[in-house]
Amino acid sequence: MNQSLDLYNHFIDIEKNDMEYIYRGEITPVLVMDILDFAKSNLAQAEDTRKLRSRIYYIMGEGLQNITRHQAESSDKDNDKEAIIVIHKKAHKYIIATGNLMLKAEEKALRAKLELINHLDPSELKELSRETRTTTGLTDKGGASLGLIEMAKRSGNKLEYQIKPVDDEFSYFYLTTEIETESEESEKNSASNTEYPIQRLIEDHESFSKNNLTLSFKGDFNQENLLSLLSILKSGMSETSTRIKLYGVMVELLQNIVKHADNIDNTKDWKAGVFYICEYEEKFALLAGNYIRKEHSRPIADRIDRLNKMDYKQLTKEYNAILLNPEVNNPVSTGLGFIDIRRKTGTQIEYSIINVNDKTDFFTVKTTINKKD
Amino acid sequence: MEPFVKEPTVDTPKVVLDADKGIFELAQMSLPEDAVDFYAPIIQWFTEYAENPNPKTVFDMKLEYFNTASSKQIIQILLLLQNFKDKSDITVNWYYKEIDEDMQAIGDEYSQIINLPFNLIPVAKKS
Repeated sequence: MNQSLDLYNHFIDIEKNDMEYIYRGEITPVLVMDILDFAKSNLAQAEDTRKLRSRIYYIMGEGLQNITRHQAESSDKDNDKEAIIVIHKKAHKYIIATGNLMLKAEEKALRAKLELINHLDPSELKELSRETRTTTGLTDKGGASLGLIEMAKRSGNKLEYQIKPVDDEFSYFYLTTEIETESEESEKNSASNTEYPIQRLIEDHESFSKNNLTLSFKGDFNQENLLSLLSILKSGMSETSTRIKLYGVMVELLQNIVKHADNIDNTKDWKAGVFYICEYEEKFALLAGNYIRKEHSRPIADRIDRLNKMDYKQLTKEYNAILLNPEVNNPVSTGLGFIDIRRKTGTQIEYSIINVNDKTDFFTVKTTINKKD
Repeated sequence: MEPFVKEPTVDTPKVVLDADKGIFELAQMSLPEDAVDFYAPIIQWFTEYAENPNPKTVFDMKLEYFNTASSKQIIQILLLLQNFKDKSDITVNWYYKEIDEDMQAIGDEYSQIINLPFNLIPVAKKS
């Protein structure tokens, strides 16, 4: 597939304060905490009220912990058996979407629980929540279905779900919860016109599996989001020389967007960008894309072309020349980022330029890190 | 001379510059948004220290990671040290995780650029 075009198509509808974060892989409690931290810092930047922020945070916590408690483990390391987490924010809605493997044997009971929850009105949900808390209804997975009840209760919306058969033993359980950030009185939209319908979750899951994607982020690129993404990377992988490289390359790629991205409407107060990590057996691929003013894209492309022709020795010479040149002391740009990436990865930097309008291009960069350990 | 001490954050390093105790150390992570701004007081401190340095100065570089923007500032510090090597016996200790080949390579390059005794010290992975 043409990943750059995909990146752009995935990105094109983004507006200020929109955000989408997708993770596919093994979900551990530590990772859940990191994703929640990330969500928290993102929520803190949004203009929502504190009460609303804590409600969203709570629902996310329940949804994500639901996976770590209930996900079934398959010995078959098939790609589409990994869990998926989506945090999607568009205009005035947050959507928390999760997908995970479950045992077919538990399917019937889960369906019954969800149907029950979805048929209750708010006061009945409240009652069920109270009952479940006070009775000893804890399952051996230690969660009763209190998590699901609380998600429905606090979001004020039905839990949308789908259970898809995988094989004789396992099914895949998809769940989305929608939270409106508008005031309580505002009209609730029905599940059918949600911005992130369950069908899209299933499609994203399939596309992520097919393209070996493990993480994607689109939204405002700032230092806080960057640091959160880095910490998710750190807790998702044990420390190896490959992870150290991945970390370094990611910093340079993301800070490039933070520092240099232009915006399509020339508003300067946020930096729209998109970032993907793909993991293959032998390598990682990192893709980043952002808007850039037309007059800037050719010089950057020429620079990448030039660096791609250099070997390690030449790259080091170029790096040191810039390092020791006192004239180059721009606080935001040293021009060293791409050289550093080339040296660390030893692979070519691929790029593409997509025409957006007469002033703006969408510039994507792809870099590959071969696994060493 | 007043010591300069900064606690680490997720994107800025731990800094200890204490002439009385003979500690000159940078540690942990350095990827600030504005590296010039972050390193300015450190470079200023060394500039003042250079006027009347200790007989012996051991600079411990224990950064686990620094971005390219920081590298430009770190080389400034090393060049500053080199400038007063006649007044002080200066050594640079460059620590790196033994699995971090990039940090090792950078240390190796810097040791060739900077005309000072330069020790490359591998640190074993925490088990």
